[in-house]
Amino acid sequence: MNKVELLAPAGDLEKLKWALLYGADAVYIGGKDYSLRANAKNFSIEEIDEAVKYAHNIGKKVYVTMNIIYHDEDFNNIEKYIKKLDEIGVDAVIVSDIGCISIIKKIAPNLEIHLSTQASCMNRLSAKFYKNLGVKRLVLAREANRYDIKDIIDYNKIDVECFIHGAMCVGISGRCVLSNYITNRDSNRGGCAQICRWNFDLYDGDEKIIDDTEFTMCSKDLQMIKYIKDMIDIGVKSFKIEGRMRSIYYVSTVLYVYRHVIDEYLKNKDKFVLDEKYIKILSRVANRDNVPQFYDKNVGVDEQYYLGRQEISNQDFLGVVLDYKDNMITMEVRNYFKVSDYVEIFGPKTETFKLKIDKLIDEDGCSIDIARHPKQILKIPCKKRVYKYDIIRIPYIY
Amino acid sequence: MNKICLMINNLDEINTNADIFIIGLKDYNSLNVLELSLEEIKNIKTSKEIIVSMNKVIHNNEIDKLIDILKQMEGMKVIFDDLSIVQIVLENKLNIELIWGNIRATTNYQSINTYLDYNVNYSILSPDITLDEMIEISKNTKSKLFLPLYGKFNIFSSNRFLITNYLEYINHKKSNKQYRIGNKDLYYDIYEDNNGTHIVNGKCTNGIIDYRKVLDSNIDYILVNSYNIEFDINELINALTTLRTLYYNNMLDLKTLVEFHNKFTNKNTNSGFLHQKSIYKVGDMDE
Repeated sequence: MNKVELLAPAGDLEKLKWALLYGADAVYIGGKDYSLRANAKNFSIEEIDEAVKYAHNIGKKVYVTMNIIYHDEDFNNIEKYIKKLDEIGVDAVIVSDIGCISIIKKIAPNLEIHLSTQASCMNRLSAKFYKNLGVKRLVLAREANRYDIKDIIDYNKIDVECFIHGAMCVGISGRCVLSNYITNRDSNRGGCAQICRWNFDLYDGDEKIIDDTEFTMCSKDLQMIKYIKDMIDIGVKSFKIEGRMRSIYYVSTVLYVYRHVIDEYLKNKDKFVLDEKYIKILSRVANRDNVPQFYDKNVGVDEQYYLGRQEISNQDFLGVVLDYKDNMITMEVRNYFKVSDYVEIFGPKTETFKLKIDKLIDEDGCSIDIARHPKQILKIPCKKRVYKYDIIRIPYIY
Repeated sequence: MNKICLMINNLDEINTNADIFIIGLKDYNSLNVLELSLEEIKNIKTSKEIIVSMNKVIHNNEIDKLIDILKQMEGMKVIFDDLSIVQIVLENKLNIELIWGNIRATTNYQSINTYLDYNVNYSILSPDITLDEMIEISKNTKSKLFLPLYGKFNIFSSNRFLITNYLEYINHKKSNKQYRIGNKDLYYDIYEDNNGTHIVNGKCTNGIIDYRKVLDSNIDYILVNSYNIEFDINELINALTTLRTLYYNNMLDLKTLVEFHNKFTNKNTNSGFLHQKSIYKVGDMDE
């Protein structure tokens, strides 16, 4: 069986545990410094240590991002940080700056380096250069198509990691500083203000183009579910989900789907057929349209997103299972639902099933009609066994 | 002696008093400069040096053609971003002087010095860092540096055709005019080429007031971009050569510097990031 890795984002320790529980083989995290999500919660060095211990204990991996473009002042404490990561035993660091790569090679030669997508590597010779530099894995540019990916793998015999799901930069990664010049926020050091999602007036010469749809550069998200089989066949080693700042619900749902698809294909390649329900789930959990982007075609208007700031806030996530005993689920509420509603429950050990809410019981033992308060603890009768950390949502597939 | 390097946008600009010129190689360039074919570049009649910009990110299916082109460029200076160009030059032992031109990443001397190990002896400093940072880099590297002192520089490149896509979506015909995007009184030129879309800074960086500091630091080149400049490019280049001459004759005073700086200042110029640091931590923004 091919060994492929499902790699998930984790913005904090709680998200890390959820990601590993929901099927990730590895997670990538950012420290308090040097990461391209400077405004996420991120991990202190103590938390990185805890994360690595936790992951290694269950046979999984942790990669730490150090993928900013460094100014000289950013290198001030970097040697100490790298040594500490090496000591902790992180499985790899993800880097784009060639100066940073050189420093790591010098002071922690055994620390594995993965090349970040920020380096925008998408041909076999730049891949060769990085391989000779000591990089062990390439996270390819998101503009790399199927043939680029295959040729890079075949020519260099190097591990390749590709994004399979989530938001995309519109600009070539690492080559956009719109945020710097429009908001003074440095996109290449983690402060990106996502200018590409703004609306602008577009002028043709001196004439402003007037339309109900304002000009934006925003692209649809990436979704590669239909191509997982092909990507495994051409030799992609790691499948990366974007979203260190995404919710537990989003990451768990996406992981659940890709985990199932990868495992189903690897289990029986000849008979594999992609179940449409997975596509339904991914479309539902997304807040923007998602498409395969560059993998199989030159992108055009169909890959752009012109619906403005109407990204749908997802209220499908109803709650989390905290316990199951005596045919009763104890759950923590996240969104509104009520008695007589149908819900779906799924989890790492729980195949998705539908449940009718016959009763809701609050912490005082009283029956109530509506779950309306986030974080409220409630009990629901359920004959089917569920597990802690299973997710309860509005039905997608039943 | 410091040299003045002009990124040209019109072939007539070869006749200015700049010392060196940058021209883009058609289909391989991401800078906002004039683009010509290799044959056209080679046929330019000038005794001055021409540097060829090939600083786009290269697709895999372009590699074979790229090797052929580079083999025809021996003896030339080439600006690159993609490391395939370095790899090709090394593997084929080509006599090409390489200039690191990923102007988003030339922000620290660690990286610039790493490239020295690969015979990349020149780098274009990023316009996204401060003058002090540029000077600090110059003190810590043997690489020959180009410092962007005046002009509008590229701030975005994409493999997508963002104008074409949008106009198609709203069913509006595309013209041959210059497109701009605007937001709160700031306007940015946006254009497409065969590789995708590029956006140019709406403000023109004017660092003339800092030229003496640059000369004091022995930085090898200053970079001027003539793209959509609102002043006469000949006058600008002549002003810079005058300032340089005064400096090397110990006759450059602050009054003259200010006078020349102001002469090329208007409401569309500012000092860019020369005296302003960018920020990146603004708060906890998790979902």
